[in-house]
Amino acid sequence: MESVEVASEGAGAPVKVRFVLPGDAIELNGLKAGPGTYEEGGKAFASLVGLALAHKGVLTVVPLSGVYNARQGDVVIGHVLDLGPSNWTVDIRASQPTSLHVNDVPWKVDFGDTARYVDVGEAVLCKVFKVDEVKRVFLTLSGPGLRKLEGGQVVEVPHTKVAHIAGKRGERLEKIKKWTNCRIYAAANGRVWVDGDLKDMEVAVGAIRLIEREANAPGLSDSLDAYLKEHGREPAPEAQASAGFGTADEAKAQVGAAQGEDGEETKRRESAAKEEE
Amino acid sequence: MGGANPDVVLVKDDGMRLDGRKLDELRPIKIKAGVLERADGSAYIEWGNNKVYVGVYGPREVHPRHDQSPSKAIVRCRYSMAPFSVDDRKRPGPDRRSQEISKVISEAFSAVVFTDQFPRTAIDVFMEVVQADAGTRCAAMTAAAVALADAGIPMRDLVVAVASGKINGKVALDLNKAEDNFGEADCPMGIVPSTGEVVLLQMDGHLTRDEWEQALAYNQAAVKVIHEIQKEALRERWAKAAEAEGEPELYLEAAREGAPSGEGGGSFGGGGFRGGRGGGGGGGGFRGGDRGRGGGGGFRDRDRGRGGGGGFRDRDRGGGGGGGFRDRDRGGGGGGFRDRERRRDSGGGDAPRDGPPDSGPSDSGDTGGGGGGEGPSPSGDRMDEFADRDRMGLGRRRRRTGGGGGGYGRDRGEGRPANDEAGGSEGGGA
Repeated sequence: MESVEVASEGAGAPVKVRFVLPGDAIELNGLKAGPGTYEEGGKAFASLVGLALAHKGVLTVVPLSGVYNARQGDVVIGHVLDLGPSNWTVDIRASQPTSLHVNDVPWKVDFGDTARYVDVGEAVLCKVFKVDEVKRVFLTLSGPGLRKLEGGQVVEVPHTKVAHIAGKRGERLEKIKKWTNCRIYAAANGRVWVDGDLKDMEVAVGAIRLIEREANAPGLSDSLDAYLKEHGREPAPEAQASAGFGTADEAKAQVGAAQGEDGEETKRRESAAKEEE
Repeated sequence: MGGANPDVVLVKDDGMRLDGRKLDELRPIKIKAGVLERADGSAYIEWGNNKVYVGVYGPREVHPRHDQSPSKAIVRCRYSMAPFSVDDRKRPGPDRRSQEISKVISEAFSAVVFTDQFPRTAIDVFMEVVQADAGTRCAAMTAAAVALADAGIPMRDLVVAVASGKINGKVALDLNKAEDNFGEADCPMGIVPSTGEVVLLQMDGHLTRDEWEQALAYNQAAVKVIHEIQKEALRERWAKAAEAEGEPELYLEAAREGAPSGEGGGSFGGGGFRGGRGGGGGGGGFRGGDRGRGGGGGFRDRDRGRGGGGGFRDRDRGGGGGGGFRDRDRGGGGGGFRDRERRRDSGGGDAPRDGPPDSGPSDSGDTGGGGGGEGPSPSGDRMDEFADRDRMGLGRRRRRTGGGGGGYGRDRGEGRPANDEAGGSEGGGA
């Protein structure tokens, strides 16, 4: 497999991407063996099908498949599976259902009163605040932008494609939002929340499916542009930010940068915060 | 072997076998990965006249629960032959033979899969033999290794299985049906290509020590060939992604996320929320793969947090937020603690929870607005809901707090800009 030179963010050092299979030996060259690798007899090997790349002195194999592996700080969309008197059991497409405790929601929930706030079958946009040493995952709903999702729809894509949907610094997702006038959030676990006009949502979901299909095909950006031009609606020049979503500070809008944080949402939140102060 | 019969000629005078192979020659093998849409990983193999599909699921929840292990994933395999896979119809379902094969294959894979990375889960491997011609367990295992890799399950290496046996007194590689039926011995092995480790070893019939050594040598040579075929199948499956065309830098994000933070929580530092939590978590010990190296710094941090003031329970009691809580929240930087505190201060108020919608610009209704009753507003007349809860056995314990709850409601609107949406939806119930 040919190596691909990539500029790593910040450091400016080139990063090599190499396709590896389980058991493939990896040259560490002074790097640390990170996730997706293992060391044996002083040598490092890949343990996954994926792309080996170095970042900040760590050699990682980024998986190309597999179930979602929750990591601390990930923002995920979960479906509530079950209720307890003081917790919700939430499916986040990880290997096991996870738990959201009433202490980690922004509401004061009385014991046994969980159903009143979030019920079975509803979707929540939450954050992984802890993955413990036996890989149990704990979620929180307290934090900027985290909430129960109402309206719109949730589509599922492989979690490995989320980065492709977001694009560099979330630019691609921003483009879809602009062209479809939808609110979209691509969560790390491969669930994408889309809300907007019915027609617009259709277009947005189409765009997401397009990326999912052609994530690695050359010229994805072009075909996406073509798709949006054909089906989407031309965004009014510079209209988007001022059109009706408040006055918030652009720069601060991107909280979840590459994750594709819903910019509009954040803006509103922040303007709300300002008024508070 | 059952039908061992020295009168049947299996090796011709010229040293060739009935199907034209040499003694150390494999049947043709073809593998394709990712053939099943619904499985997490899959593979299809044609090995001579054997045809096997393999589907892999997981890691996923273990059912029945008592099978689960608190420390590692269990690898469950099911080898099964279709009724039409053999000349005489095979009675479908697990029988003695397929149960044994399932067991040994599961043990073989347990040796290479990093089961400790997925505690309390199961990895399920389903091998369906749709056409059998001797050597199906080897074919199934070889394909299963590809399917496991395709499913993104971390393992030390692929596993290759191949058999050698004895026909007409000679050791031969990869017996076919006739050779298996009328030969003297058959010895399948599962081998880890990179190390040569043997993870599965069975023998039907008898081999002398020398013969067995010869069989092992044949198998080990064959493993190299088959391993290449496996890798080629995976490469083909992931070829597009492998080229990382377009935007390889997209993968950097994933790498950064996964980077261990042994050196002072480097990767945590970046993202406000994550970074602040519990004092940075020291070694970031939570993150899956790094747990060992992280030195558990993170974990202890958290522990301290919780122990420090009775954490969660403190809050329930209405005390001023235990050490644990405060630690965590202040670190989080989300202003969570302050909010909570503020709420508590004014909590005695009697503003109805479903009172005025909050004034934040947010409640312009992306979610809540006007959706009266949709949100979690305690309108009090939702008997059906209560009935539900009674059925869940929660009703008895449910407290109906009038004033107290109300206070929270209002304060939520004011004090928690971050979650105004939730507040909004509640307000909407008014």
